[in-house]
Amino acid sequence: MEREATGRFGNGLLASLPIALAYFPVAVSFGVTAAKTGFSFAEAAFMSIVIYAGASQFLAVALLAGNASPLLAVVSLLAMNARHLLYAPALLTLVRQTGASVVSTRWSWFWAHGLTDEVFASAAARVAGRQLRWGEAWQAGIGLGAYAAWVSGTIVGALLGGGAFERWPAVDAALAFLMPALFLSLLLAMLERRQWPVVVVAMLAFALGSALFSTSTGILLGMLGGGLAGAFIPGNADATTGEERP
Amino acid sequence: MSVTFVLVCVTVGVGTYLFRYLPTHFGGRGRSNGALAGPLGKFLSSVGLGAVAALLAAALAPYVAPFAREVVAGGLGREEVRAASAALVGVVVTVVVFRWRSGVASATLAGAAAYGLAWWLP
Repeated sequence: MEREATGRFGNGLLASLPIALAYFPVAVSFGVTAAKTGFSFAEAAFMSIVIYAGASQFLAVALLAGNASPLLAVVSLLAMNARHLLYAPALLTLVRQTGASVVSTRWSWFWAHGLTDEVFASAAARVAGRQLRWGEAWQAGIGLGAYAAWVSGTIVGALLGGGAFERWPAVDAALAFLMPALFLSLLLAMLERRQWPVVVVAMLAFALGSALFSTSTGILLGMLGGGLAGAFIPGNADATTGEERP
Repeated sequence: MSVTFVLVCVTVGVGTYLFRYLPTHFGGRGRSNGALAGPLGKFLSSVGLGAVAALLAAALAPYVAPFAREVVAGGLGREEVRAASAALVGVVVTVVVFRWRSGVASATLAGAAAYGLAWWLP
């Protein structure tokens, strides 16, 4: 286990490096996809700056390029991002349970924009693994590093244009696998043996939700299913209090 | 940039920001350690792991689901086998490198590179 890092801005920026390394190429492919479907450089960059939610941006491009109604687009994209509602309470609960007496959220208006899936997962993994004394400055640092990678990657991709990867399909394929590899690494960083029921229930709930409804509903059901498994399956201790640690 | 495009992006952007920002005022501020014990505390501390597990399943689904559908249908397409076997290589290399180096960045990059290589090889 790494030594516990302090919650400084610089440490947060450093912690954003793995996310930035994964975000940048994915954002490049988003920029390329946007250019391929007829969006201008300014439109692709605007989307990444304002929405800043990877999967829903790809969906936004597909919906808007397909002339979907604006209302349908807004409702679909917001429904897809509703899972973010649980991230701050989950993260702050972890922080408190690992020993912080008072958790300030005075600057959350600043760092909340950066609380994406990967930033949340990375922060939660470090807090749960007791590698970090969480602070708002750290959260701002990790969020800003990831945001910069996402926006700059989009700009590079949009400038490269729609045909950028046509000559290198293997590179295109490898870039697409960055997100599964990142989530798998983050899962390995968070996981303890007795928490397997949470993972199994979350994946089963995802499979059910995505088969019956949609991928985003599946993710939401997976989160809720994992949370319920953690709360109610006997023997699955609280992830962070240490009360039932071996 | 059309007005409709700007309105859709701004509405979704503001809504997503509020999804992330408003709940920062629940679940942490000013409470002492252990105040949220019991089922709700356990639920919230497991939601993170559940989220990552579900996001991983969602990210792997495009590689696994078409392969599984082909198997159920009784036939196997070349592209489905290619993507699923390359994904298996990517997953194994990610786990091995993570166990070896304990680093998220190195494991992620190695897994993606292994996937690309396995996909490219005949």
